Amino acid sequence: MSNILSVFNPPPARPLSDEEVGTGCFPCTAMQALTALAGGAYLASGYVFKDLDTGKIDLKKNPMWWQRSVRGMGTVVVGFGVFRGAEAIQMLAEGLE
Amino acid sequence: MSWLFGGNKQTTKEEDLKQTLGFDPAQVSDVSSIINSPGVFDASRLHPLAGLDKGVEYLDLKDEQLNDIEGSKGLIPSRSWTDDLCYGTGAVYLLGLGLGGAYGFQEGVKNLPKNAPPRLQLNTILNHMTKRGPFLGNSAGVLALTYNMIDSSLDYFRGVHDDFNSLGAGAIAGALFRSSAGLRPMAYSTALMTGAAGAWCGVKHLLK
Amino acid sequence: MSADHARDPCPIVILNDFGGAFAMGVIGGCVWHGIKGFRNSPYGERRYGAISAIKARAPVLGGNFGVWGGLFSTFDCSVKAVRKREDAWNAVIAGFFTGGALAIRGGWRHTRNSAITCACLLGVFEGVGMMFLRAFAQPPVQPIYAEEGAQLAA
Repeated sequence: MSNILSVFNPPPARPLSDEEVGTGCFPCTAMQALTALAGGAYLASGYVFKDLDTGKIDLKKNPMWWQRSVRGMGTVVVGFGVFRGAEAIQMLAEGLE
Repeated sequence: MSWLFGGNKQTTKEEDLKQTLGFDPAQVSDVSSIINSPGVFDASRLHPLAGLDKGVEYLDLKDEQLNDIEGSKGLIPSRSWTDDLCYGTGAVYLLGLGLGGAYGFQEGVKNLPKNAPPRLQLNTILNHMTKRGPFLGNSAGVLALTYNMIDSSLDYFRGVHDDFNSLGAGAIAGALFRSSAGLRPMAYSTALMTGAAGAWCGVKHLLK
Repeated sequence: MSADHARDPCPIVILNDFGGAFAMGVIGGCVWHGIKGFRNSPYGERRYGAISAIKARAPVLGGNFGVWGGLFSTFDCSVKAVRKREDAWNAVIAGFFTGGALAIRGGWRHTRNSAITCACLLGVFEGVGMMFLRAFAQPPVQPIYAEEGAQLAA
């Protein structure tokens, strides 16, 4: 069942096992690393603040503290992506041996 | 979403009845049916909590049923035509998005403004990518959606899932997609989609 | 690959949600923009207006739906992985992030409002779903212990 359908038809609350969460599976880790890298880079680049037409940053819409926090979060996500990517490469290397 | 579409409500009710009564009322109708029904002397089935040892029950209600049309074991885990539809459409959309993005990237690199600051050059490339990517993704997604819907309908009417269905569905989807543009584009897109469906069937045979 | 999982594992279910949301958006967009294009066209061109409106707008609507669904599913999987639990809060938290992520280009005020609205909406959906589930899960036959007790007393 998909995640969206389970919103409308919620399953009973329960803790998930490691297998269901997907820890330790290579595709999960690799996809997570890629997603984190791309999403983090998008947030950290500051491209989100720019107006599409003028290419300028509106300081009223995007105050400095907001820009800094979003960029900081993006950096953290990129770091997480690097970490997971390293884990994925490690898994791949272990699998090849 | 069974409360919206009235899905497997009946099953849940029977399950609940079994739990409140401590036995399945359907099994006590007749002596011979009791004796003949398999597993009725199994103590674990007569226990008031029968069925709970299998784990959480929604896991094995409806989702376990596999697609039972002949020859429908595919690449992606599929339980029904809706799964085929969702996975197929999602995968093809992302493929189209990626291809369109790549094409836009190449186009942006070709049309780079000379002697511009790198910031502006990056902007040009990104603009081209965001223009091409979603457009191709949307078109590919719509094509895949139509194809999958027609394919599933053909499966249903013919009762068998084979390559002819795929080819036919591809042809119909391609014809429908460009049906408002005139006969020649329609013929082109029909041929193209039939070819794509054939290629997909070939890939499926290779990987199986 | 065999289909032995009762539920699909997390990374691939995102594809399912993406495709499902896209399909929903396209089909809904066909109906919505078909009617809108039909009504907004002059007489004699109504069928053409409806078809051209569908062709121009339904795929875009589908794309927007799909992006929402895919993003929501991604966040839902992430929240599940972090909390290691499956309950109603997952969808609310995922909805908060989805709303925020989609509105992030509009400035911080827009991001905040959109995130909160989306989380509240999903909370309402969860609540309604749970309510219906509870209403349907009631046993159809009530136990009759009370009457038996009354008979014994009499």
